[in-house]
Amino acid sequence: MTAIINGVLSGSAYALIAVGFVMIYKGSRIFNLAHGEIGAFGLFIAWYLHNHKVPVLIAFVAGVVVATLVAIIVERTLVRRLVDRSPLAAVASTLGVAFVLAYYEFLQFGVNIKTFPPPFGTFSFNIGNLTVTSSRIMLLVFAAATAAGLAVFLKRTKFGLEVTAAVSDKTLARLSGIRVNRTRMFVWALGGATSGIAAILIASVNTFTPLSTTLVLIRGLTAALLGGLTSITGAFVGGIAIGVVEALVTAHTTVQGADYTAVFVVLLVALLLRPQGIFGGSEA
Amino acid sequence: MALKRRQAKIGAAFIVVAFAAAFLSMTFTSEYTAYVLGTVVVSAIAILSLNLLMGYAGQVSLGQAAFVGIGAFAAAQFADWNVPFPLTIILGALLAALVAAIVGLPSLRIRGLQVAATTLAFGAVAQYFLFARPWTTNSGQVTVNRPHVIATDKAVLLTGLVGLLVILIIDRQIRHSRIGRAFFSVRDREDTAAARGVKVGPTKLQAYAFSGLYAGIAGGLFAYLLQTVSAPSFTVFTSLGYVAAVVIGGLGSWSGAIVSGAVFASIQQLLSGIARYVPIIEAGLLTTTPVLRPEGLGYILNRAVFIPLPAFKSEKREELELSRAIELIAPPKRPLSLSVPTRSLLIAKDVGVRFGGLVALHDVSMEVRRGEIVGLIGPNGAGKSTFFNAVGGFVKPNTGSIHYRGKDLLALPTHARAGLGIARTFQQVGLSGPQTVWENMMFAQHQLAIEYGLTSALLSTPDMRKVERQLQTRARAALEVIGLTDYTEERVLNLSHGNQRLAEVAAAISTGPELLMLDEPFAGVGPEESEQLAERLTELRAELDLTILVIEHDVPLVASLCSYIYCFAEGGMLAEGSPDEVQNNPDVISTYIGEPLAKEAAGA
Amino acid sequence: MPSMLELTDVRAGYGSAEVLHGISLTVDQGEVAVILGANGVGKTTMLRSIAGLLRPWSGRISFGGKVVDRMGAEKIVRLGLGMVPGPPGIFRDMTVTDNLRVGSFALAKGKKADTQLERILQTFPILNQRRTQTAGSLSGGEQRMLAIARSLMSEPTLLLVDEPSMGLSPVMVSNVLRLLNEVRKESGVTILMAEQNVGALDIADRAYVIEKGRVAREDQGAALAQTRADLARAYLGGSKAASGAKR
Repeated sequence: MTAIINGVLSGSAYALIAVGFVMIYKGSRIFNLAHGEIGAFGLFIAWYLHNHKVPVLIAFVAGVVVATLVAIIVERTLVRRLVDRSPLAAVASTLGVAFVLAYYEFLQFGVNIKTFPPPFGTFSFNIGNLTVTSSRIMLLVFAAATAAGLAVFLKRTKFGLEVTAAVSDKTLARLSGIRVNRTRMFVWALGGATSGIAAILIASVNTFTPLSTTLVLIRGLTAALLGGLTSITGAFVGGIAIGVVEALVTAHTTVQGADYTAVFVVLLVALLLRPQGIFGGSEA
Repeated sequence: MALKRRQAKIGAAFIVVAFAAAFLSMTFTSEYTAYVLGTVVVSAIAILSLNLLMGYAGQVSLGQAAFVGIGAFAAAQFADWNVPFPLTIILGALLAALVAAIVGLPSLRIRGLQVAATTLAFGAVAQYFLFARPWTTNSGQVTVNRPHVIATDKAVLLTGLVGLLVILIIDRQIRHSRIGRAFFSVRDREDTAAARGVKVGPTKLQAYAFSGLYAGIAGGLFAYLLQTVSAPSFTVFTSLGYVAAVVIGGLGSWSGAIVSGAVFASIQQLLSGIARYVPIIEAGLLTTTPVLRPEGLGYILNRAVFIPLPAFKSEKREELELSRAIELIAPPKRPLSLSVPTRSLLIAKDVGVRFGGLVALHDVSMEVRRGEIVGLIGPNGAGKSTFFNAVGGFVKPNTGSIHYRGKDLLALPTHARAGLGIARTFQQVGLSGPQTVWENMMFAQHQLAIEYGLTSALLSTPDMRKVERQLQTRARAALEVIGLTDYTEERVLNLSHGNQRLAEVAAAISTGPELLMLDEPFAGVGPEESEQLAERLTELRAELDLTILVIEHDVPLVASLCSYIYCFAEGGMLAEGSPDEVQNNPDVISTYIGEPLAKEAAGA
Repeated sequence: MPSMLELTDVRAGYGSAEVLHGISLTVDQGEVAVILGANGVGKTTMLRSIAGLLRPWSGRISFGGKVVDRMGAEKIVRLGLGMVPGPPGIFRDMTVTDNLRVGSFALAKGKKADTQLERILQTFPILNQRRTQTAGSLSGGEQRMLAIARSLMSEPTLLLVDEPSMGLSPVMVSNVLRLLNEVRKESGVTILMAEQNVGALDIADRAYVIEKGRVAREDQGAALAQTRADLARAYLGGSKAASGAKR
């Protein structure tokens, strides 16, 4: 049982990243492999500020803002040109962005393992013999809130409708008065913000280095795939599910790497049974 | 042809010179340099493996290092079991090929980006689990003992160079045979590949297998070079580094891939001063290449090296006389079976097609007789292309039958219909845009190339060369017959729309078909060109003994071209008859121009 | 009073291919004008240029007195232009209601989208019945109706329609044309249609025949009725001597 709770908590990190990734994919058809590092860049800035006596919460907010700005810059300079090209071009290019950001952090801040304090205080409580820290519970809160918020946002607000229209048929969207580029920019800004929040909270649970967030992104990708790549709810559920599977496996065996292998097996089976993912519908 | 030949010759010359220099210089270099060069060679082979999978076959793989690692660990294990030296690498490579093919299985069922994410996940599993080998007692490292014959780093480098040479040759054989052309078709036009006889699934798996083979060889060499094999050498980031090298080099360009990989690897090893900045520069190039210059380094190599250098021999373009060309591609006379009404080639009876609740075709019956040019007209969405798709196998009718020369078409899968003597063009030009007219012409005859197998392709057997020469002759002949020889080396996407359609017709006739099905060949073609094309088609019918079925909108054009017309409307057959009958048919008139005018026009 | 729409010597094309070779035409307020021509002569290119989806190479386009040839579609639509593109012309994965809601984004400030939505649904009872259905599941004719309805949501003063009859049965074509005519009478919207189908002339006040990217012929009012039958015959090729042996 403890394992399950543990799993839900660690899964919420994957869920938060996956949700942002899926939103960007739904809102621009781009497989954004830089999703982790954009947030990580905000994290490094936050860390830097905090090292220079800026209070944690303010550093946190600043970090999220920076991540949002980076996402906007990437959209305006790069993504606009990638939208009409092959999906492979976007994969390669965003991968490049991820590495540029990571290597810059590398050069600027060094490769040592770093830490960041929990932005929401250091309270913690116990469930059974499991200690739940503030960061871990905040991750769950943010993941659930973001997933719910984005799902509602996309389905029920005017802006959500704009986003769906812009991706579904760009010409028709323009003929409806939608400024497609601006809409996409907002989507990326939101993505950057969620990535920033995720990166900082995750870092405050453990430690971080350049590229550590991308390692989380890989699991987040698995979660997104499981959920169907076009469903925000699916990404959230997928993330939690992966966390739980990992925790259960780790609780029962000390074989290194077995947890992730189990996840991979689950993914393969799920995809073979239902290629469009658990929640994926006929949405392309 | 001139550019390709030049590229091939210069490429070959370059390789000969490079290898000669490498072998010679080995007497002068130190062990350490040999070691460094060895790692560069290993990287180059690994990168070539990804270039084949992503660049030739269009399958995104973000976990390629896993296959390299499998080759490495397998070779190490076989060495441990006292398997003799080169065999260890070869067996390891075969195992890697098998695993790669298995990893490629999902690509048969799920879409491109999902496959990419799956390969990334697999790479992570390999790194954290398979290679960490938690079931062993030590930290998962394996030590490799070099046999006496390759005791030095130099010797391993020599082996590596031989391996690289072998792989470059295999790669070249693949590119210039039907194997490579099948890969390219899956990469560029998976939708129409089956129409040419390509079995898409097995082709993809074949690509994965070859890719795994190359990667496994790289892994085996790695094992002997470093003499220890452990998980940290085959991480997700190693894989992503390969992706960077392939993309920067230009997808599909083997020279670009090797150069970019070699350049970055060597800079890092040798110039430690700027080594810290190399990764970020490489990352920057990875970001900008797909956007600014997708052909990557390969483009620069083409511009700077291949084109300016003079050809070794002056190329004389062989002139092919038109009458000879016609002879070359006219289909062999095929006797019709006696059980079939002597003149009918294609008979469709009561064909019906539904997509969910939507009825696309209902009760369509049609007969196409030898030597006719038959027209299909009707408003957009009336079902004409759907009918073509039913004949071609892209759509499965729910009711009815279609027979060609008495054979039940509906019993055959799509790729099996290619060899029957039917050729078609598509509503959206069905050629591969990024490839040249020549490359498309060679691929169009894929069905004829099936004559030679994989081994023949790799070994360039006389049989294979004979078949390839036949294809080349037919391609040249078809281009001559249609009149497109001037555009042979042009990329299809650079041609005018009218010429693209012509090229597609040329591709269709190169297979020597009996029945030519043209889907809106005049769409987007100007009036004068349309007239010319119509004339040419009539001539071709006589010259090549063709039967033609053509979908078209322009009613007067169809009337002057065809001897019999079927008019579709709303999925059904509205009318049929000679052009005169159809043009004056009140139902047809009202379909095109509305009721009141129909009466007027008919009355006038 | 300036005309609703005026094109002066407009040239446009794709890549290096010029499709419109100097088009000049006028459409007055409240008119229904038809651009008639076969496939590939440039009708769609013309509409796209007017709507701001394609930038003309040279020439001038003015809409309601304003010069719009350098403006993007998003902006022109907010000035009161609507366009029904060629099929499908709808957002396949969205519901009928959502499709219409998207159409209301360009509605003038102060107008309520919900009121407009109800009004449009009253005008299109079939769509009202299917308001929660996914647009992609509608029949071809219903999809065209939806496309027109979506474009009317923003209360345009000029409506461009690209081949309203494409893929439709003769009965449906009459319905669509009748509907457009009624809409024009009720709201005074000016309509410019591109069509292959000569039947569109039934509701036209003015017609332009386009051949090879140029205006070949212009007819108005009474003269139009005379030419219709001629056009019909020319279009189908009439009973010219048919070549090719009979079967």
